[in-house]
Amino acid sequence: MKSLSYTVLGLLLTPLVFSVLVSFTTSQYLELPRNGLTLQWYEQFFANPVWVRALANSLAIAALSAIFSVATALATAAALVRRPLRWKTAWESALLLPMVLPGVALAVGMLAVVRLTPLWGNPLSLALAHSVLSLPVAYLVLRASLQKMDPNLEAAARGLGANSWQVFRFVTLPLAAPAVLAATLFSLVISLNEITVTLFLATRDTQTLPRVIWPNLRFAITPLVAAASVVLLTLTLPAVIAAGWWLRPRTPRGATLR
Amino acid sequence: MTRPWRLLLLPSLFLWLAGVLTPLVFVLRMSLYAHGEGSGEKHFDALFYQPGTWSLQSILTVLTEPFYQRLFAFTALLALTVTTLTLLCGYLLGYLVYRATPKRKILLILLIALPKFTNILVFVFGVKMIFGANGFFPVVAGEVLLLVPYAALTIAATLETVPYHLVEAARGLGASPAAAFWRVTFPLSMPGVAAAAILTILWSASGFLGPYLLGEPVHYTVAVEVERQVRQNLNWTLAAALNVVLIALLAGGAYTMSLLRRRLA
Amino acid sequence: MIEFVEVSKNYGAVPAVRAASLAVRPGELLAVLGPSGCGKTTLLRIAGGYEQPDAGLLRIGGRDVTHTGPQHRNVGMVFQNYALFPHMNASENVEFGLRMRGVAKDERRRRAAAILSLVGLDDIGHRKPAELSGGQQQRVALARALVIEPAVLLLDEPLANLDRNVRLRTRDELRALQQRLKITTILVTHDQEEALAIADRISVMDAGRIVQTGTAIDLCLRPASPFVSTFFGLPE
Repeated sequence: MKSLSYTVLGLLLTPLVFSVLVSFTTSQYLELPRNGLTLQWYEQFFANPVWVRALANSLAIAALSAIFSVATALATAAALVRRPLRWKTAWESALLLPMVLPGVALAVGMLAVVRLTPLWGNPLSLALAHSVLSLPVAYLVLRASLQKMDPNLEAAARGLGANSWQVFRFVTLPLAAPAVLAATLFSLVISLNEITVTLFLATRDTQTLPRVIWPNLRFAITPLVAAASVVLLTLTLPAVIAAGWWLRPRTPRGATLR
Repeated sequence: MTRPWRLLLLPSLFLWLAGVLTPLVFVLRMSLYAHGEGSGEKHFDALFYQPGTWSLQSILTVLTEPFYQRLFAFTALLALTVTTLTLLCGYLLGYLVYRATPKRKILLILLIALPKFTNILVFVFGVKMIFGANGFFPVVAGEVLLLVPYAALTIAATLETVPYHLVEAARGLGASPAAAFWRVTFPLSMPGVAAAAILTILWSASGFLGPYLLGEPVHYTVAVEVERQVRQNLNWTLAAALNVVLIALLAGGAYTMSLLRRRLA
Repeated sequence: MIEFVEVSKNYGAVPAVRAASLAVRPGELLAVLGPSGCGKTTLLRIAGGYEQPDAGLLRIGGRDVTHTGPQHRNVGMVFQNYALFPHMNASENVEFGLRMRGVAKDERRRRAAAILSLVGLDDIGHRKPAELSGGQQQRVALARALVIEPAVLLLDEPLANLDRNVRLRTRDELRALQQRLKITTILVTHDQEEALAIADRISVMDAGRIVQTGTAIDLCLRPASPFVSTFFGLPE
């Protein structure tokens, strides 16, 4: 039984290992390296303005969308956590809706909306679209962190004379800082990897890295695709590990004795 | 009393109205247009739909044409196959996490979640290399591997809430390890399995990348057809109609499942 | 001084405090004694401004503060779990209330060090709460409540989280400090021994009601109800 479990885990991780190995192949096709390793596919990647431009677009859009989604999620969580509000559950479900909606449905709708606005062809439209998709995750992370926080800490700050903003600025925000960082990293990763909505909304000038990988993956497959994938991986992987580190369960600190 | 904190809800309200509700309303409205002159042709300035018209043509096409009926039937078949296998594999991995020592637990969770944070295209590309040429099996394998992390972590989280002393109590009363599992642990983990089932069926039924990149045209799902109608045939009304029917079916399915889940609980 | 007039508080349909009236005299230490769930912590949170009463009045120093927020009451509260800010060191915790009042940094440092010294904690100002023992955390929380020179000091089971030896010593020091500063204090506890040892007067609470308020001798010799006498464990 246990070996079966490990087989599943192995299968889950093999695709990753494969694509990393293939990016160093000396062959012209997608094959595992046989006669030594080469960096030529990475050289080609960084020599080609289309790929480099896409990389720059990806980073800019990811940064913008992370700012939008984390700021929005933080404001929403600060407003909703610990406040009894009649429409709270309904509002939270609505916010989480993009998680369960078919991506293509949202993408088609966004395409129709964006084409009617001046944002068509502007990276801002992609950043906003990506933040719609990462908002549920950012919200869940921040909500969990705020809910875990000892409500007496905020009460104590108020009793010592802090107003609502000061309570947030000096107590809530510093304590939620790891969650804010984690939410930011998750949002960055979601944006860097997003393809469905990007496929519909990106134009020639706003192509992201996944958007450029896409046709290459379907039609002209060279190890350059693997190299591009690994570049993306080296951007997202440290972010994920860092987020996991910040969110790791910790022994309770002084304030939560008992 | 004034409630200035309500202003904090404005950003999410804006993002939700502009990014979720308006697009969905547009999809619904688009599915009821007469389709544009651009259909079937590939010039980008064509009309994608005829504004101001009302027509049930696209919805009827989706509901009545055998091609689309087969498309929905195949999507459902794929979703059910993928969900069954995903839950099985997810339970195996979830149980592995549950029984691991605290240190290994973190490592296992990281390893299970890792593929979700690597690019989906990289991942599918790797699947293609392992499972070979395009076909039904690679599609199923790809979708299962894409969804298994969510299922595994959901199930693991529920298993964590099952106090181990219940199992010990069962053992003390004479249950074998297997009996203790099937009589105590498994029934108590059902809420997690049910939650994972609902998410998996929703996500596999709207799956797009796996079928597109790993399948032949006979393995294309509704979502793939939507992409082809929008980006290749420029028939936006048909794409919208496909989306409307898909969302209606998924919402109906999710509602039925949540009723069943409440009945079971 | 602080005065409750017919204060009531319900959580949904459940009454937590029912028509409680109580006047704490200036400089007095009054213990509110009762079993868990009797409403004593709710009463204290109403005094601190963390709960709004459904009915009744609350006066501090003669001023009606029933609808005043906690930040405008000038009340010092020590929470049962201390609620020390885990991201600030002991000195920063104590300085917090002064910072909110716009006191300059040097002045804050000086007053925090003085008050920490008063509660018997020299040289630990730079330590984070997690690096302090339970007894030290308790004193930091006390110092943080005292440094703002509150009109009333509120203590929610301040000794409940301490080991027995530390508890007895801290109890006596707490009483000595209170008498020295002559600060009006409400202490909530479920431990009659603690109440008897430390308080000028004791209010006994049961199911949301204040059953009797008086000195230890009053309560022992003239219990108002069988509940009071059973709580003090004396034969009738």
